[in-house]
Amino acid sequence: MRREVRNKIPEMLSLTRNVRKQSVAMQHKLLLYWISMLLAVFAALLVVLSAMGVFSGTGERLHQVLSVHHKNVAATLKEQINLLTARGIDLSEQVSDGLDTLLYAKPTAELNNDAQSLKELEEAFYPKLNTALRSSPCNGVYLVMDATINTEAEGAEASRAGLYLRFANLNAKNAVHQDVVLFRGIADIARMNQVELHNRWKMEFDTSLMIGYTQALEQEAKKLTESVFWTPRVRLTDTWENILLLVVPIPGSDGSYRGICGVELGELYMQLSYPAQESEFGNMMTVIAPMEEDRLLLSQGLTGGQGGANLTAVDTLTVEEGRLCHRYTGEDGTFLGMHTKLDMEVVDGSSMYAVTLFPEDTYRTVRDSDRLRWIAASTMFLVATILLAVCLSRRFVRPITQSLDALNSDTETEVGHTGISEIDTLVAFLRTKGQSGGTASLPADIEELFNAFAGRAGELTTTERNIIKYYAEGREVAEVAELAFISIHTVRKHNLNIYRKLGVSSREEVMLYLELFRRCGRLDEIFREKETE
Amino acid sequence: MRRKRRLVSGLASFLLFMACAVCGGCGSREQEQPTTVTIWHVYGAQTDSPLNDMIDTFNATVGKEEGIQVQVTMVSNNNNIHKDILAAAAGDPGAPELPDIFVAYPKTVLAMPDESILVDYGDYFSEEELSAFVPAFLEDGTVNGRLVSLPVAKSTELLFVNKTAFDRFAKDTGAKLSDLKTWEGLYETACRYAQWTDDQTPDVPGDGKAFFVHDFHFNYFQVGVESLGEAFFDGEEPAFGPVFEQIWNPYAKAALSGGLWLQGGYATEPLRTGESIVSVASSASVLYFSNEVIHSDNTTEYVELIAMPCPVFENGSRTVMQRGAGMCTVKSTPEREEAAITFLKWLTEPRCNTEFVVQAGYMPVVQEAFDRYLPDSIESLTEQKYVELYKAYLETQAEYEFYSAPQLETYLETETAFEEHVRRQLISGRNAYQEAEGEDPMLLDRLAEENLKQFTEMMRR
Repeated sequence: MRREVRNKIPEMLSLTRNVRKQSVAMQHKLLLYWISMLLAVFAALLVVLSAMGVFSGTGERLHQVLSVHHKNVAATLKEQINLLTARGIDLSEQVSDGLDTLLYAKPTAELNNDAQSLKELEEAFYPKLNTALRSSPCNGVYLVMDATINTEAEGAEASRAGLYLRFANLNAKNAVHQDVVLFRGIADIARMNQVELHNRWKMEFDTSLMIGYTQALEQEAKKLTESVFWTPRVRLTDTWENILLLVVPIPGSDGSYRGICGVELGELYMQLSYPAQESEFGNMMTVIAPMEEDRLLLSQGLTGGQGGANLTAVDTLTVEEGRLCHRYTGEDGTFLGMHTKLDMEVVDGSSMYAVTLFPEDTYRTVRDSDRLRWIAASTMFLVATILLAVCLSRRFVRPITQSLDALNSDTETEVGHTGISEIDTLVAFLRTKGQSGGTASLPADIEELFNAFAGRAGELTTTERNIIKYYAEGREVAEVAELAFISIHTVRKHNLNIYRKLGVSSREEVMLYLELFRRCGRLDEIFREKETE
Repeated sequence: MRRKRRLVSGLASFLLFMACAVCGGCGSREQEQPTTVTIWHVYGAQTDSPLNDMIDTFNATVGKEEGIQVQVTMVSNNNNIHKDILAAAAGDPGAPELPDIFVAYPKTVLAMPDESILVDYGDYFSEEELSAFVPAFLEDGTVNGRLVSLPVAKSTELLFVNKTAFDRFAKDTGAKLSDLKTWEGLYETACRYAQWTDDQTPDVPGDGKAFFVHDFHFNYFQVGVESLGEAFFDGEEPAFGPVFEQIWNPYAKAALSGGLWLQGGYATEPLRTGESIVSVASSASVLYFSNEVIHSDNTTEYVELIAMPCPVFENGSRTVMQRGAGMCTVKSTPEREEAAITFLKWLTEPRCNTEFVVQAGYMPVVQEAFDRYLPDSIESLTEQKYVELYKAYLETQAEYEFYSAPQLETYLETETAFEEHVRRQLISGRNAYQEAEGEDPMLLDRLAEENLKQFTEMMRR
């Protein structure tokens, strides 16, 4: 088996050599050449289009990633807001029942200066608020009753009794380990329930600082679901936290509203619930904010985890709608993103939007990087096709130049096989034509002259013929003497014999004949010895 | 021929360069994402937090340059953070994730199931860097030979007085602020105050108010016993020796008389509601004191708050509890650990450290901050309560010895049990005293003795 293989190898090599020697039609070579040229043009086009960002597809990829994330976030937020609204309404109904039981049809103001009743009410409502807080996706729950413990106290006109419970150690994932602190309410309520007072505790609410309190109480009686609204972002008094409050009026059986209640959505809670989501385009941030025409009012909304950006300090972003996503421009930077309207009406009648944002800079970096890679790849392709074209053209031209050189130098050996059938045929034709046309074209008398001279040259001795050869090569007399190892006198003597035998009178006349014979390609006739000799 | 070779090698180099450009595009994206470090701290709790302001500054400056963002995910008090850290470290159901940095005393570290999850700062700070710290503070943070709690701010216990209310009381009774320099004087004044406030409403008997509230009763006994020359601990447990009994008596009598606040929570609470007018608390609690007291009828009284050095026993040494937790860093990835250390190095840099601590009512932790920046910072203070605070602080530093709690594995359990039992015992004693008041002239002494006995028995169980 091995032996067979060994025998086959030389055969295969020989076959390959023969194939190489086989002539290929110039048409095929030209076809290859044109293909390489077309590829080069195509590559150049690729480079241009890559530079224009046609191929990288970063925008489409961004749209895909962004829309999937935004859809999820908006759905979660919608669900959360619905749940919080439902919880607020439920709390309002429970508190309303409690107050009606105590007051019947009396106005809430009956509770003014009644410290004992207010304390009992707060005591009774504490478990309801505590349950609402622990079972809702929020970080605070409050209740304001439209009455004060002391109408004579400073600021009593805006001071209202109530309860405000907040988480002390916030954890967005669950409320099991979270401690509640009393932010507003009678201090004894905290002690009864073994919770601490907030560092900035006060007994009552200052309703002059509560956005929407008056609007809530003064609105016409209607379904609770229609009278619910949210405040814009406010700073929780004396603290470092920004919050949104859900405001639900508490209807009374006397036809008025007895106060408000609701939940708190704090910025820290928002940040923990909606951390910045890492993506190939940078950190995607979640924002809840109202919109006014083409402006996103960030200063009135809450921001989730910012992953390095500082959106809290941004006041507004101007929205410019785009095909794949929108551009949000602020004083300190530009963001890309999407927004969806939430069922979250703000006190001024505007609506909150769920917004997903990420810095445009990071997107640009990714896009430029993608584009650069496309440009680099297409440029590499272009260079490669140019190199291919260069190689092909060189290989294509080489046989032609070689053939021309060979024709010029009149050497037959190098022109034997070019590899291109058409050129091989052409060269053969030229050669044949050159050979046959060299003597046929001479006039008859000149031909006769040439033949007579060639006949006379046949009478030269070997030494004389050699000397003529030296002259044909362009040697001088002195050189001929050296080359033939004879003296100059002897050369001159041979010269005289040569002149005599050839029927000429001078060396110049000999040289003229030699040149004529060379041009006719018949030099060898002079140097050929006579056949008879 | 040479020209051709040059052309070919040039083209080859170009292709290689472009290939590198194609492959290299991906790596640079990740570097642009900042490293986020989460932190749980206690500085400011629910008020305007000075550390949050410092963190904002860090994020906008050094953090921005180095790609680090510090994110505050909890601002609470030591007790809450302690509970959450232990739950998170133990992987309890529903527990939050451990942050990168958290504030804790060594007692929290000792109570953790595995303290090796914390970074040893010795691995990240050079000897030269560590030598800049006050050595005693570093000792406080060293647990089992590893520096796991880096001091960033230190505090001590001071006496805070609602001077407006005290002056009213003093005007009627002749009480003096100087009486509050000793524990004996303070407890005697507390008894008088309880009686005086009870007398203000003759129609409502037994409604006297507490004069004094202590953040940690455990600290009072620990430092008190030590200052009188006796060891508080016998091994891992309190010794309850003769000196303990000696300092129990005036304290218990004041409590039974109604002069001491016995309910839970921090000392600032009853001062804010006017239910008490004097407290011993951490100097850092100045942040939580407000100049307004809200009484039970919702009237607000604007008061003057002053600070004094902590009281001592007449025959005891001037010793005071050193407080101020340190920052622990949880082991994570090298990038996050480095980021956390960068932030902590920045925060303990003398100028930053001074700026931070002065806003929060603490003392700096590096010597250069004490020598170079603190005097100027104190001079520039404008708010009266801070001026008073640092006056008392400097007086304490000049005249007192600082006592650091021992690092015992059971320290936290002992402290918690002590606080709970002592309060419950004395609340029960106070009720018994109110019920039997007037029947026996020696009632107070007898009840104080009985309560001590019951309390020590409870603790020993």
